[in-house]
Amino acid sequence: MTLGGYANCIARVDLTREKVDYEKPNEDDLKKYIGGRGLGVKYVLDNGPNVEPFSEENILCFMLGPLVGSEVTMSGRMAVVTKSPLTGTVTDSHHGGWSGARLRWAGFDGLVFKGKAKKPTYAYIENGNVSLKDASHIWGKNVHDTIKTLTQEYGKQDLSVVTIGQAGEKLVRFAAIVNENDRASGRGGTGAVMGWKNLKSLVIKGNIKNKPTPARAEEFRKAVATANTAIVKGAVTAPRNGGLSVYGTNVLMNIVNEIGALPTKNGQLTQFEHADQLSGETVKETILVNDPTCHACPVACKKEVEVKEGKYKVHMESTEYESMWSLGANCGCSSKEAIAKMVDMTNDYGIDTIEAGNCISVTMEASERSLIREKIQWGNPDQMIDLIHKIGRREGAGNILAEGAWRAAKTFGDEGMANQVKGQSIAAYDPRGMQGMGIGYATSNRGACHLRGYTPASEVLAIPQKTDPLGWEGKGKLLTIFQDLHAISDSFDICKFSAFSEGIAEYLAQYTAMTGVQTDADGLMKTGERIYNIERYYNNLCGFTGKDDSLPEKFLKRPGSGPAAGHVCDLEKMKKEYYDARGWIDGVVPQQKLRDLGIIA
Amino acid sequence: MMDLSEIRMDYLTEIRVQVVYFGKAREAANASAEVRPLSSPASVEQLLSEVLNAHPALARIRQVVQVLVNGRWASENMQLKDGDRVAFVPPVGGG
Repeated sequence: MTLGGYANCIARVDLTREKVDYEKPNEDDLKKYIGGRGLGVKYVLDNGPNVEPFSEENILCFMLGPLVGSEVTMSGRMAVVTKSPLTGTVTDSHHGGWSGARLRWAGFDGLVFKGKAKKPTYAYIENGNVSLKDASHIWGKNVHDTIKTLTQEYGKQDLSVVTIGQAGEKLVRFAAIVNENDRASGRGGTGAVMGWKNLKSLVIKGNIKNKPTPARAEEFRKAVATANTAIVKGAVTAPRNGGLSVYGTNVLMNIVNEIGALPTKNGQLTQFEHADQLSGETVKETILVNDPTCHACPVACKKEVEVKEGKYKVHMESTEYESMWSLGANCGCSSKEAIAKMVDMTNDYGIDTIEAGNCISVTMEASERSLIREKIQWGNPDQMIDLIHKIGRREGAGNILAEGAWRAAKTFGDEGMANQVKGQSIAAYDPRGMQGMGIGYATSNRGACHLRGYTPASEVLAIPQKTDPLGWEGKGKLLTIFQDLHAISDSFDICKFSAFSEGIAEYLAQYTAMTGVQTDADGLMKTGERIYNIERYYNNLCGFTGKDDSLPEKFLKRPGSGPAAGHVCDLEKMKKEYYDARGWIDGVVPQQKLRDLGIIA
Repeated sequence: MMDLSEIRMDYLTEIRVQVVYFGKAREAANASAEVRPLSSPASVEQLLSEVLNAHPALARIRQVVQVLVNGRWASENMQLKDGDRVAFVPPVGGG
C-alpha cells in the first residue's frame, strides 16, 4: 500500500563524503510514528543514543508530516530533530512560515544530515534532488544577510531559505535555525548542531503545483472543510475576531500575570507590575503594523511591529508572548520597543529568545547578589542588547552565556539561579502559579518546555475545560493527554494552535483521508502515546531517569507572589500521579510497555 | 480591648471594586480598567449586569467571557468585597 500525502522520499546526506542517498520511508514507521517529530525521533533512536551532539555521528533531521504543504488548515510546519547540545536529550524544534510546505513541494518527507562537511556548505533542494554547494561566501553572515544573498542568487519565486546565523557557526548551545519569514526552530540548540556540521543553510525551491495527493480525495476535501470551519468559527482562532488572531500570543501576558504565574526577575516574583506595557493589547494600540501568517493559515497570529524612531528603531517579524516575557518581565524590562529590537537581533543571530532571556536574567541576579563584579541592572535594555551581541558572537561574557543559563549559573557560583530542567530554561509560566506547568516542565522529554504538554490551555484558557491552576490533583493525568495530543500534531506538523478549535476528531478525519491509514481516535491517541514514549526511551538509554524529572528548588520551596502567594509547586504528588498514568517506573519506560506500544519487539 | 478583626462595618452599603479588561473585552469596554462602585452585598453577577449596562458592546462576548477575582477563577454567584480586583477574560490562546 502506498500511503497518500507522503512524497515517499527521505534524503540521507553524508556531509563528510559529500554523498546523497534517497530512500523511501518505511511504511511501518510511517504508520507508527506518522512523520515530523515522531519519525525524526525514530531516526534519532535508530542512530543510537551513544553519540555526542557535536559529532559526525549525530544526525540532524528536517522532517515533515503527511499533511504539510496540503490544503489542511495550518499545515506549514517543519520539525528539526537531533540530539541536543544543550540538554543531551533528543530534541525537536519546529518552525512555521512556508519552508515546510516548500520542502514537501520540492519532493521530500525529510532530509537527514550526518557527518561534517570539510568546509562551509549549503544544501540546494529542488525537484527531488539535494546538491551540496560552497557556502564560504555566506559563512560569517547573520540570518538576514544570508537570506538576502541567497535570494539574490536564486530569485524569490518559490524560494525558502532555512539557515543559521553567527550563533550557530559559533556553537552557541541554544542556537536556532531561522527561515526567510523569521520563523525559528528555537529550542534545544539545533542551530549549533547545524553549525558544527559546517552546514550553513538549506535553499529550497518548491512549487505549490506539487502539493500532496490524498488517498481519498472527496473524504479529504470534506474533512478539511470541517476542520477549517472549526478554525474560522472558533472563539480563539476566528480570523480578525478571535483573541489569538487579533492580539497574537502576547494576549497571554496580562492574563498569566493576573493569576500570578508570570515568572518575574528570574523567578524572584510571579507577577510583574509593568505587564500591561508589554501586553498584546498595548502592542496593538501602539506599534503593531501588520498580521503576517503562514502556509494555509487564516488565523494570522503573527504581530509585525515597527518602532519608527529612536535607538530601538526596528521593523520586525513579531512580538510573541514568550519573547516579550523572557526579555521583558523575566529581566524586569518594561520597554516593548527595546524588546522588539532585541527579538529582531536574536532572530538575526539565530538564537532561542527564551534561553537568551534566561541567560540574561541569571546574569542580572548574579550581579544583584555580587556573585559577579559587573553591574548588570534589572531591566536595563542597553545592557541587555550588549549581552545579546556578545552571546551571538561568543565574545567576553557572551562566551559563558552561550553555554546556556544553567551552565552560566554554575560558572557564577549558584546553579540554583537557573530556572531549568535537564539544562533547558523554563518558559513564560511559573509552576507556583500553575501546577500543571510544573509537572509539564519536569517531565518534558526535551528539557523545560511549555509546548510538550500545554496545560495552560486548561488552567488559563479553559480549553477543553477549566481547571484550577493552583490545584495539583488530576494534573498528572491531564498532562499525559496534552502530551500525547501534541505529539500527534507535531508529527503531522500542523500548527499546535489548531488545537484551540480542533480536536482529535478533526485531526483523525484529515489524517485518515490524506494517508488512507485505517485507525480511530483511540488508535491515533495511542500513536501519540507511542511517540512520547519513544522519546522517553531514547532519553532513558542516554541515562535520564526520574531524578532528572525535577524542578529548581525555588519552585518547590519559595512561595510565589500575588495570587500565588503561599503556593509552591506540588511536584512530587503530581509526579506519582503522572508516572502511574504513564505506566513508568521512576521515569523509566518498562520493557513490557515498550513492547505493548510496538517500540521494541 | 477590641480586636480589630471583630469590628463590623455593617454601615458600609457601598463597595468599590477594580475592574480590568483583557483582550476584546478591553475594546468592547473602551477601557483597560476602571473602578466601579456597587451596593453591598454584591455578587459577580451583579457586577456583570452593571458593567453590561455601562458598556453594551460587552454583550457580544458576554457568554464567552470568564471572570477572575483577585487572580482566581470565580463563579457568578461569588460575593465581592471592597477592594476586590475583577478581570474579564475573553477567549484567547497562545503558547
